[in-house]
Amino acid sequence: MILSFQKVGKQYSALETAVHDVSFEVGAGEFTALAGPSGSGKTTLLNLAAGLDFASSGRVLFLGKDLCRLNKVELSQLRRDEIGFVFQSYNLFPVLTALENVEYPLALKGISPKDRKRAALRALEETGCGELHQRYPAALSGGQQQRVAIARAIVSLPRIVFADEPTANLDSHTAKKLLALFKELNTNRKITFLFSSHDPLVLNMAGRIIQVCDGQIKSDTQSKKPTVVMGPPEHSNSHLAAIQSRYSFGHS
Amino acid sequence: MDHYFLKLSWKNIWRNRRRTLLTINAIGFGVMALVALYNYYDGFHDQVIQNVIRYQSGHLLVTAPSYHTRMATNLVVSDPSPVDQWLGTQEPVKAFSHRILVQGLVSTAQGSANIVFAGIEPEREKEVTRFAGNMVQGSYFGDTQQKSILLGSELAHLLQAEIGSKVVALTQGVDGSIGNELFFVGGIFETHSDFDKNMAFIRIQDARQLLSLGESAVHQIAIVLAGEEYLTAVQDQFLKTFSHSSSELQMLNWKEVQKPLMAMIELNKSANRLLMFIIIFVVALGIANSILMSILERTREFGVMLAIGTTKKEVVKMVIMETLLLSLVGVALGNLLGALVTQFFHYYGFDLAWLSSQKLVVQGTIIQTVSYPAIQWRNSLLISGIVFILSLIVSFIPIRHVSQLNPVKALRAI
Repeated sequence: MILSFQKVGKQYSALETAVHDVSFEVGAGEFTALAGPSGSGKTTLLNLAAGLDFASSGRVLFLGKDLCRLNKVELSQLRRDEIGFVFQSYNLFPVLTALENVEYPLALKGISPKDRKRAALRALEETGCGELHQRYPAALSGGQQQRVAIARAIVSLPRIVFADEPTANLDSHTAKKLLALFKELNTNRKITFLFSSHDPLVLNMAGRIIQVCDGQIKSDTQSKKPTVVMGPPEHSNSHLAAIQSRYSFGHS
Repeated sequence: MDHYFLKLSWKNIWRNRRRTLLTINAIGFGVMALVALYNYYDGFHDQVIQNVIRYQSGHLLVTAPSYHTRMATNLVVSDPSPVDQWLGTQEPVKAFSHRILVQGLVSTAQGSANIVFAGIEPEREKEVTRFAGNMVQGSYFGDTQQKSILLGSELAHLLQAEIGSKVVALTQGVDGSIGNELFFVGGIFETHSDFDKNMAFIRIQDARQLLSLGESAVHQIAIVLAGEEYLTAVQDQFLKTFSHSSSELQMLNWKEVQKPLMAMIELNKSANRLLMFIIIFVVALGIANSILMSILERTREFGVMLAIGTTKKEVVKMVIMETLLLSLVGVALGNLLGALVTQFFHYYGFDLAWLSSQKLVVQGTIIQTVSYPAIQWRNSLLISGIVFILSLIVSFIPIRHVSQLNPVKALRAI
């Protein structure tokens, strides 16, 4: 089990309750969508899952660790090592090239420049942006930017990728291609995905849909035709070894 | 963090090229002004000191104890020969000269004035001070037949004295008698200082006669050294050598003799330091403002950084790096321009006289306002160091903003 929400509530003020008594779990290799209208609490759930925000009640467990009990540095470490993020508006660093953007999480880990570049190029190739690596975000289309953002999210082989409305700013054609890429990464790389979306296109492709409304889970349904081929989750200690063998990393 | 984050910081400061260039120019201009000003004042102070050394005290003075404070005519070094012999063996001693100083009345048929008579050894004094080069009429004790006196130009004008005119010197001798001598004006000097109206030079033997002093008695032995750096060593050596006769001898360096001048220089330096801190503080605020603006524009990006695993400490490090890089570029530019300006004025001179209609007089000497500054790396280092430190201090404003960022709120920022 990667993620577990146990009776989680989030209250911003006495009058504003974002999430109320939410419980669900996300297993390794899942391709799960948090569905619901705007303001239903999807983004809050993603923030709670990533330790960016803290539950007012209940517990959020990530790989068995209660996120409320981790300090800020441990949370940063967790996000750096185990989590990938894809945002609605891409959020690439405009002063960096596509390659440098993808290198960012690896630079944080202290990977040597040579290994970092090789891994980033490979991630960009996987997302179909290998030839665009020297371009700055401003010179890329929305779809290309989101692909670069995905490359940044997966470059350090996270256990899970959180994607907040990843197709909201894309046309349907580009969105489809992007979802196919997500699916491919989920299938081939066994990366777990947790989306928030109200895009029917995304929901159709999800293996599991958790319907959220007014901060509560209304339904949690498995897709009839799961397209995900799941393998056993890799052990935490062997995770870095997997990254290293894949990209031949050596810590600098 | 490796060079990746250095590159990121470098790229970040150039996001808004115009703003960064303005900030760098502000730092550069401030640093340039300070470096040039400090170099100018160093040159100016050095010139003032050299003026005072070469027109008045020399580097060192040997006198009877308390002569310098009391200036009593009976406080003499009765036998300077041991000191002379010792000075002759000291390598750093470039020249020395005996002097007798006495206050008295000088008069002609047309007028009189209360002045100081300086009895000097003409040839030796030429090596110690620069009066010989300031003759505008007559000669510097060229006439050996007569009792010659050199008058300042203003004094000569007051007494309506010309070359060859007779003047009478009147003073009280050390034995209480009234001493008077007739002199002939042998030369008129002009130093553009108070000396021109209140000083006259006579030969030292004539001064002794006027004061009824012993044959070899002197008030001062003025010494010029090969360099300022020998001051303490020579003073220490003197103390060791003449400790047995210390009751009769005292050696003062020019700093001890010219205390008001030193006080003026210190005051000047303090004012400069204050000016420096004000300018650098304003410059540092400019840097902090630039960084803060840049950070406020990037709130969302910081949210992304935090979301993907950057610690706040790493973000703060990046902001500090940006501050230092911005300062570094500005400081480098400022130092380069400051060095160029200094070098220009090193060759062509810089005159501050246009700032004031008054002549600058220190210790009775008019100070030349034209300075020929030289590049002083210690000034550049001092100013650059303070810019860096103050920039870091004032950058606590943007750093505080970053360290208090809530990633969720930051991600929502536009």
